[in-house]
Amino acid sequence: MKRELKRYQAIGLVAMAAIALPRAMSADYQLHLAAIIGINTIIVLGLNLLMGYAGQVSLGQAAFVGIGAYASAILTVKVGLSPWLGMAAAVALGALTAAIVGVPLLKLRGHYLAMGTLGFGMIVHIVLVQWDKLTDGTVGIMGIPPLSAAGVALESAPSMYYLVALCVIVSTALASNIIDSRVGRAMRAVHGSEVAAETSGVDTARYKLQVFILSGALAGLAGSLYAHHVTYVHPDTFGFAYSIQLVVMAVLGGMTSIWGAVVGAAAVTIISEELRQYQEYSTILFGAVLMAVMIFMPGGIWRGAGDLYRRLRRMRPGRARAGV
Amino acid sequence: MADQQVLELNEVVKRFGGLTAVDHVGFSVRKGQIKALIGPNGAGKTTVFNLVTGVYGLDDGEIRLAGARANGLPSHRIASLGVARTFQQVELFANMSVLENVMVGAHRQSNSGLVSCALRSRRMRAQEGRLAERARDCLKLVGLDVVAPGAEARSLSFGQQRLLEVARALAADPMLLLLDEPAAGLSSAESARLGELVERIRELGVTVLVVDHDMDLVMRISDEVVVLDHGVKIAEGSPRAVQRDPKVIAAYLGEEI
Repeated sequence: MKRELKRYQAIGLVAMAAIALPRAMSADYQLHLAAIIGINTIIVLGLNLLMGYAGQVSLGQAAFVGIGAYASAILTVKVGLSPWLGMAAAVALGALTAAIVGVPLLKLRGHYLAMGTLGFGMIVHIVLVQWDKLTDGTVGIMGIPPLSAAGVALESAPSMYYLVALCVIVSTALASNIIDSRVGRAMRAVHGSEVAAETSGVDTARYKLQVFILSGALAGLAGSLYAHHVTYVHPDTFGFAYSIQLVVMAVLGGMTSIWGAVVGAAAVTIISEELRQYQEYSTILFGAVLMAVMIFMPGGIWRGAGDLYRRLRRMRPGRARAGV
Repeated sequence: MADQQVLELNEVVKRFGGLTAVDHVGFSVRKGQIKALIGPNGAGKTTVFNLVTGVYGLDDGEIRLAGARANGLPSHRIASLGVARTFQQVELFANMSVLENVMVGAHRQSNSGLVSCALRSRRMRAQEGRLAERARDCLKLVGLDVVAPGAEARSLSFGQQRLLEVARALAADPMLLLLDEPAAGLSSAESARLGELVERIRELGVTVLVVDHDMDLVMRISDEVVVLDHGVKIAEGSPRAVQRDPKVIAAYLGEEI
């Protein structure tokens, strides 16, 4: 039991930091930003499992976020369901869509899969714009009710922040459990050598689909959180640019690192907020950052920082000896 | 029972465009045998392995595993019927640890799904423990208990990587083990140790079909040899008989075998 609890040590520490964070933040704006970072982290976590661990590229992840956000928006605003039911439906719909499109899409490999997922993302965006009876088209859906717990609406910035933080922590724990398990090894084996995985008895198509569904469900959850947090959804939020931003987050943080998801999501979310007034240049900046990371820190910031720290320690021999 | 066929190939054909890589080849491997498949480069040996393990589909003929028709099955199904293999070009999971590589080999020995893995159910943890134990046993069997189980697979030497592939294949508890050029790139001392290892594997009740260019090794360990040339079987029999076969000698263009 003790050993089992030890697995969650790091997550526990981060949880405590997350709980303490609002005290350090004065403005609601900062808490709002922290919530957005958390929402992005959930998506990037799914993307890391899919791309970093299982080696399957997705350039259409924003579509699943959009599906989740619109499921919540439509079910609460137009059907009048409770936001929690909307959220459950958002997760289920994200997973279901991934299951349906995953079967044909995951037969593609490498660049073709990237193109296929990109196409899927574009189709979803077009549907969100054109199916205006359901989605109100380019007007977007306004007045999405906030989630509520025990009769209290989670309207204030800290309460929504705590809910997002809880979701991040739970999904991080589950994701790191999966990675270090039979299913996680099977997924990583698919990435390492598909033919060797198959001849070792791993049904590669099945695990690719599973991880795709999981990433779809996480994106659906994130979309729903977004909808109830911001209370407004618009098709353009979930377009190609956002898909690319999500990939940048994953790469920047480090695709084979769970904590990298938080780092990448935070870095990109903050940078794009700070550069809001220079929006047209931010794409150029992200492109440059992506190239720099690929060249100098292929393992992402999280790992790159660790390597740098170890290198610096080694450069000071006195320290190194003391360390051993 | 003594004559139980683990693997049978009947009139197996595989074409790549205009090239017939495997041309009506038929042979069988009996339970408990070490059988070798030899032939000059491009004879179709690896293609036979890829056909048996379902990596390629065959164009004609039939492959039977323990008496049951196995052609057309996907690789993972064939693996679950008890066939494990190694690769000529090492196909390790470079991004995973030594122990994890072998644990993937034992994938079929447990059945925890996504949900029980995410929640680390009691049953899943027990299975993980057994899997790790089995993987350690296999590493020990091939003599890789000297490397750190947590080391990345890509950090091993070439010879060790070959042994790691053997350990991964053994972790599946196969009835038939296919070794594709296990001695390629090994020193003569390493290759001699490999020979001993293959014999020990046979003693564990695993039937072995081996492709290799190291004639010394092949002639020493195998009970029977099948010779392929340009996709056609030109000889089959005991190592001695095959070595004297004029067709075999001609195929190797006078090379001494």
